[in-house]
Amino acid sequence: MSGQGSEEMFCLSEMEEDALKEFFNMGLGMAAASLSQMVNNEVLLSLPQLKVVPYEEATKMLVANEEEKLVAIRQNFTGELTGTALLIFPGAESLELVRTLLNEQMPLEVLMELEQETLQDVGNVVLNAFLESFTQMMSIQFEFEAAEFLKGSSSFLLDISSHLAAQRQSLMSDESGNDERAFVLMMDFKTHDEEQTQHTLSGFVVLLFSQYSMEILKRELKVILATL
Amino acid sequence: MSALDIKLLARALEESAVGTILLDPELNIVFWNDWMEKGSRLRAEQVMHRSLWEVFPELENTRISRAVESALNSGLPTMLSHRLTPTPFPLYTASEKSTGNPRMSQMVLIKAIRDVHDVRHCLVQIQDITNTVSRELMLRAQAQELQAAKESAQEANRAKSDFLANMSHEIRTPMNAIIGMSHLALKTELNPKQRDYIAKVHGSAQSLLGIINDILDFSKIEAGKLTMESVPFYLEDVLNNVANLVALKADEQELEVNFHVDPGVPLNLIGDPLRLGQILINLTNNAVKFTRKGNIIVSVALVAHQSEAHRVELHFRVQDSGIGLNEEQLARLFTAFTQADSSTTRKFGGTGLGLTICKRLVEMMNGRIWVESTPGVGSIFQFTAIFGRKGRDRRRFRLPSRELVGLRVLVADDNPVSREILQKSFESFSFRVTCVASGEEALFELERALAREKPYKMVYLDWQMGEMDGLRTAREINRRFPHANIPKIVMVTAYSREDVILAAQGAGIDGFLTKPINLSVLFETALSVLNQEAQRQELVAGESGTPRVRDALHFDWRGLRVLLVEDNEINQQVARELLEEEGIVVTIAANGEDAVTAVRATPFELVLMDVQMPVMDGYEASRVIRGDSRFQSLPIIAMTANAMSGDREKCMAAGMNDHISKPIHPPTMFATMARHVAPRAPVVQPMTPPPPVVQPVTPPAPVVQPMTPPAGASDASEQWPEPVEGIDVVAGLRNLNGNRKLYRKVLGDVLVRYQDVVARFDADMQKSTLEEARRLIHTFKGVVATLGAGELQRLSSGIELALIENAPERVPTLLPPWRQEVERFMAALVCLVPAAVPAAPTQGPVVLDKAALQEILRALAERIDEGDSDAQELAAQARERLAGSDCREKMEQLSAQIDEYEFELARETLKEVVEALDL
Repeated sequence: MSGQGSEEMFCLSEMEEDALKEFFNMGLGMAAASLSQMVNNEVLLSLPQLKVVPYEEATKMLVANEEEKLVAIRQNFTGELTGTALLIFPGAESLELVRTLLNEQMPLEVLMELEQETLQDVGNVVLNAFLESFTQMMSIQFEFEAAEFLKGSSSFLLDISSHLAAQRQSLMSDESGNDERAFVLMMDFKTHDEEQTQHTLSGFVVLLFSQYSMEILKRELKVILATL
Repeated sequence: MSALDIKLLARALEESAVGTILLDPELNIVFWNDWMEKGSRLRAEQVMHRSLWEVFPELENTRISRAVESALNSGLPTMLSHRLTPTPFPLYTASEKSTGNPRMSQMVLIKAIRDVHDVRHCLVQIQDITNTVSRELMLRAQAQELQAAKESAQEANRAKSDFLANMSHEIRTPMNAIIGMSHLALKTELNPKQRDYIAKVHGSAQSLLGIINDILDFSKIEAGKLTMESVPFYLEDVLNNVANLVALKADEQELEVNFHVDPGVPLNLIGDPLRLGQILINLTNNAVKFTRKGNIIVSVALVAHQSEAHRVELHFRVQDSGIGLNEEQLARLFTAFTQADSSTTRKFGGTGLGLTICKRLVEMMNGRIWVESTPGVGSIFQFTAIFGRKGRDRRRFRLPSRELVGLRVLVADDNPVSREILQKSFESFSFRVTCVASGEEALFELERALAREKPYKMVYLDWQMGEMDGLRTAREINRRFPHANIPKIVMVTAYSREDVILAAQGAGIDGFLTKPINLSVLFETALSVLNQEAQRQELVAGESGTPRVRDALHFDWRGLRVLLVEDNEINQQVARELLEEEGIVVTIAANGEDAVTAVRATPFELVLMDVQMPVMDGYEASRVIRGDSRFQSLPIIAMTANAMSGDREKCMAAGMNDHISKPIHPPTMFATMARHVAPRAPVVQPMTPPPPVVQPVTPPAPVVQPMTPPAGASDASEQWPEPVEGIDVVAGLRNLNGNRKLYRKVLGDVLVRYQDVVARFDADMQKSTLEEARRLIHTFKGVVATLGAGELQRLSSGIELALIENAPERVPTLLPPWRQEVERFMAALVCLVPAAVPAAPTQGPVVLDKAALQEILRALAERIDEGDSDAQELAAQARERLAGSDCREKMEQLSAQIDEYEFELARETLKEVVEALDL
């Protein structure tokens, strides 16, 4: 399958995109509620942007500077729909998030073990909300792996996930592994500190699918739209 | 899977280091491992097949319960962190013997697993992270302490910087007063002793300032605050500056300092000229300091293999013939606070910071510094530095006429280095040069050239050469060659000019040059002995369009309206007098607010702005002034006493145009000013000698009309003194920095004080008080030289020389022409300074107000007894009153004595006056 052909094939229609956004927003509401409860502080989540792009492009979207270290929480999923969900934060900002969420005033120059754990927890909550909206909308079966904490450049983060998935031989259901697609969702976290100053942090939720999974996703979306 | 295997797997789970619980879809516990038994103190039998909420009722409706539901319903795994899970499993650490058994810190993973029937079960895994938590708490506490320590260190560092900036200000403010006031004092009339004292104060203040600058620079380097400028400059200006600064010291030690720039070295550079100068001055001063005799060579060459057109790497060398350094000493150089050894420090002084600063500066110029040295032979300090290049070099020295190209020049010098330098310099002017090493060879070469009909036009003779020195050679040349074939002779010397000129009288010498030789001076001297006018204007103006320092000094500042903003009164006085001396009209504002008001009220052409002032500082004032559209282009020059890096940027940011640092260095101040005011004509120097006076001058005319100002001159203070025979007014004015008022005053003083010089000299000679005679003639010579009376100076010098050489018998023959010249000179003075002429008898007999006079003379006597220099004023009053009386001469004598601080003699004279007046 040529790149150009697949490009057209995986473009979502406006309706499909709207439907997806609707589902994601539902999940987001859940995530925000859980987070707010966890940190005893109101957390607002919003999705200003949703894009479906080849994953090389996703790499570029994440950060302009290749050298910059990113922090990510990853959850792989397998089954009929196979892929990887990532919540990605720019390195320094992720620390800021932890700080704000935990209402800690001390400087966090080095991300310590417990902070990684906390961040992983937060990421897990957010990703679960997304994935749950997926499972609820689809008629297909998933198996989820536990959340993992990762650090690295954007290409490393996206690359390693496809690499690991490829190792399991499940992502690559056809031969054109380069045509992997990614949903890139920009996500804003808003929270308040003790002085009621609002903090906004932008992160990315990236859903990485194999080409094969993408086709299933599109089929499922059609079904959903038809039943509406 | 066999039954045995299942048992084995169950055993493995039992032994696992992670708490493991398995729940069936109905939330009943179906597995509980050993770890759980220990942590919960509940045995598996006690919990098996019971609901998890039954066992742990506190967990219902918590994150854990929601995670379990999510796993069973959607298959989604949840990782619960220690920090965000307020209600964890009620588990206890096993190892603690202490009472209370603290709760275990835990990380919980809850996920779904499917059984053979594809039914979801819930797996709960718990990790004990108590140790991690306590370790991190400790680390956090440490991090917090470190952070606090870091902040206090930064605070201390900031305080140090502020302190330095403050110190710098506090030190520089009085330094400015000391240096500025002594500079001004040196321009006043002082007796030799006072001049010596003040000159020493001035010199010491300068060297103290040098030390302070070193320390501040070093602190800046330490603080990483030193910045490099990148501005266009002329390499030669930097070298000239170095030459000027070191020449004095070198001269004192009778050392020769030679400068040499390789022909290929570009002169238009971009970089930091001040820092480059600082390095060179430092290295050269060191060389002078550590060299007892011999010479010092400063040379600049191009580093080979340069490919880039816009960048150039130069190699600087400062070579001396000093005490040298041994290997151990070499190893310790360039380290802060060390000198070769402590005994050296005691002998030669210094902070030992200079080389460290040089090293850092060189590194900032992308170069390196190193030294080669042999104890007892000398050292070569060398460094490389990279500069930008600005445009193409234009030939700095263009001969005014083609006929001069290829002119034949002979150089005689026994020092091969100076010989080579002179040769290369002349070659760069397109002269044809031959070099010889002695006077004999020079004579031989001159004769040979004449025989071949290719005579030399100019000969440069070193003053000190082996057997036949420059002077003898010059005499020989004059003696041996026919008049038409005598080349122009220029004497080159490392000694002070006056000594040489004095000694060389009558040897037929056309010009003098002092080492270190400055290329521009060499060029101008060559042209002037050849009677060619150098194309000064063209040569002096730099390609960059910025007038050079030399221009600034020749600038005509008269009438420039300058606002001086300065709060410190002493500094006000220093700056004001420096400016007024140049004819600048100065208005003073004591703070920024006054400055703003003044600028709005009066049009100024330039503002000199102190930055630290009460009420409103200089930055703010500049911002306010710039805020007014009328003053967008008014030049504002900051004067800061901080000299810390960043000052300049701060000044620029506030809208100021430039920056000079205190203490004020007059040439720098004027050079900076020259960059910002519209160019004025340089002082015109007439090409032709002043025309002879038309009117025959007769000794003191009985009635002298005040001179009418020449047409066109609006202000009496601006009028040109009329040209007078025997006095080169132009030269005289130049000697006084073009200060007409001062010139006039000096003329008057000379007339008053030396009217009777002939009589006084004769008296001294008759009394055989030769030392006094010599002193008189010496000071007289100096005074007339200042005024531009060249011939009288020459004649006086001859007499002085005879006295110095203890040959008074030669004096009588020298006297008649001298007397004649003195007479002519005094007559000329009378013409020039009508006001200074003593009151003529035509004013009629003065009626003496005896009582008033008595009062004045009494006060005068008191002052004289106290040695108070206010006496002069009273003496002047008394003199006025007695102008028509017989005591006139006595009073003149009295004034002169007070002037010379001869209070003992003055008392005697006063007594005589009082007696004569019968008071």
